[in-house]
Amino acid sequence: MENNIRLYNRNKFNVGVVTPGKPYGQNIVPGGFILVSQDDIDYLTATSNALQSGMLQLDKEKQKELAEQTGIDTENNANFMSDEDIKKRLSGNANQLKKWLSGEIELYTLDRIAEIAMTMNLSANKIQVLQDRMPNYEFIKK
Amino acid sequence: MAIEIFKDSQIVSVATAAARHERLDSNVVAEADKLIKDLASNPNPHNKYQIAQLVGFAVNELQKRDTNWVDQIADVKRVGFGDKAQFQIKLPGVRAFVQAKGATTPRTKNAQKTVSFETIAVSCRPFVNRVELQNGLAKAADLINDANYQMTCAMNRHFESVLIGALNTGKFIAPYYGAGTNAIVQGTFDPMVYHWIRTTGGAAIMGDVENIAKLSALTGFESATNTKQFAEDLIKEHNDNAALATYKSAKVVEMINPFMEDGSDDLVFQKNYLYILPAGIDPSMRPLKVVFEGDVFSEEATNIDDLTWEIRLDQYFNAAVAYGDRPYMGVYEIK
Repeated sequence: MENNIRLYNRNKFNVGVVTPGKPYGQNIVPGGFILVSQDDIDYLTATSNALQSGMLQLDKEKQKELAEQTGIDTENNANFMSDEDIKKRLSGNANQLKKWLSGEIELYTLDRIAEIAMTMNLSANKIQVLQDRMPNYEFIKK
Repeated sequence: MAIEIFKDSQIVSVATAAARHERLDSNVVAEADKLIKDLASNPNPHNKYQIAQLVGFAVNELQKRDTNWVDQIADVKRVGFGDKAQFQIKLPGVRAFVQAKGATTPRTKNAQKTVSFETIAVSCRPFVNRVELQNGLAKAADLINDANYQMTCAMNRHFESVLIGALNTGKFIAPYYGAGTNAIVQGTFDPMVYHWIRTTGGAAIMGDVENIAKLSALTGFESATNTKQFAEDLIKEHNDNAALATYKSAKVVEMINPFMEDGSDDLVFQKNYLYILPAGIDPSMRPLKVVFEGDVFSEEATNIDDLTWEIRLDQYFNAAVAYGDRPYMGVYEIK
């Protein structure tokens, strides 16, 4: 089977991946990806929680396929979003942002959202929404 | 004569040793047993209070020893009731500049930050039948042991959840945090170990036996793709001890990970985390801060409805994660 599926690590830490073809594993650097086959994806979903929790991500269409298998709503869940999608959500209105952030979001995704938000020019009420969800981050420099 | 039990009474150390199943002089045990029996056989308010005091003191003694896991990983401070512990954190600040002669050097500050936090309580309320206490069927040592065990486990779980809550956010990212899919991947794990060997000259790897055993397969040399050579004595050592004593010069330590209750498969610590601890650093540099406020204190009551006698034990404590330039610790998660 061809290794033509991109497996992304969009976090700020390294993630090691063991696939049947590479028993000693491969490291995916932060922001990087490796090429794997469909068999590898099936193996990963069976042995680990990394794909289901959004720690490792796939291209949009593959992600949809995975969603059908696992029953996770990958369209709206922040854990499965790319940086562009997160940016899009952050530039929406404050009420929608609040609703979106109230979902179950992993800590590393919150970290990514905070990081992206800090590069954007957001309105005061949106910053308040972010601050309420992530009290440990300094969105407004004191 | 009314018996009074104080914190440093001999009976406290005997009860503590009995709960730990240590070897004791039979005369001393007999004396202590007699003392407890005397107290229990005449359960007036004074005597019942003295038993509660004894349990409280003994649990306090045991806690100081049993929470050793915390002593390995955390910066522990013990303060009196109503006091606040202050944790000093060094911030990155001082810098040197290469510049033209006589140019104004920018000022950089040697900065410190102080962190303190509120405490919460861990509490346990064991009860025994009043008659069983009187006729000696209910053993004080068992009561102490069970209460202490549950309180320690509950606290350890809290410490761990505080630490895990801080992982992979803020500065707790590469090379302090890494993850692998149901395996320890050398390319991910080794840089984390090397980071501490480079910075502090040594490291220790602590984890559940199931996972430190997996480290053995990462030793050896890859002579060709997908084949590995292992030294024979390493194979023997792994087989004898379930894990190797050292991994890439880092000491491998087994994390004592008991079950929450007898007969359950609920572990106290989550087994899918490996801790990489830098050697030779001051405990105050550790990112997990733990404070114990006061000692374990006890209160007792007899219930007139069902003739039970109960003790309530409380310990004020809390934990937080705080660090300056970097967290002095590495955590590898098996996802």
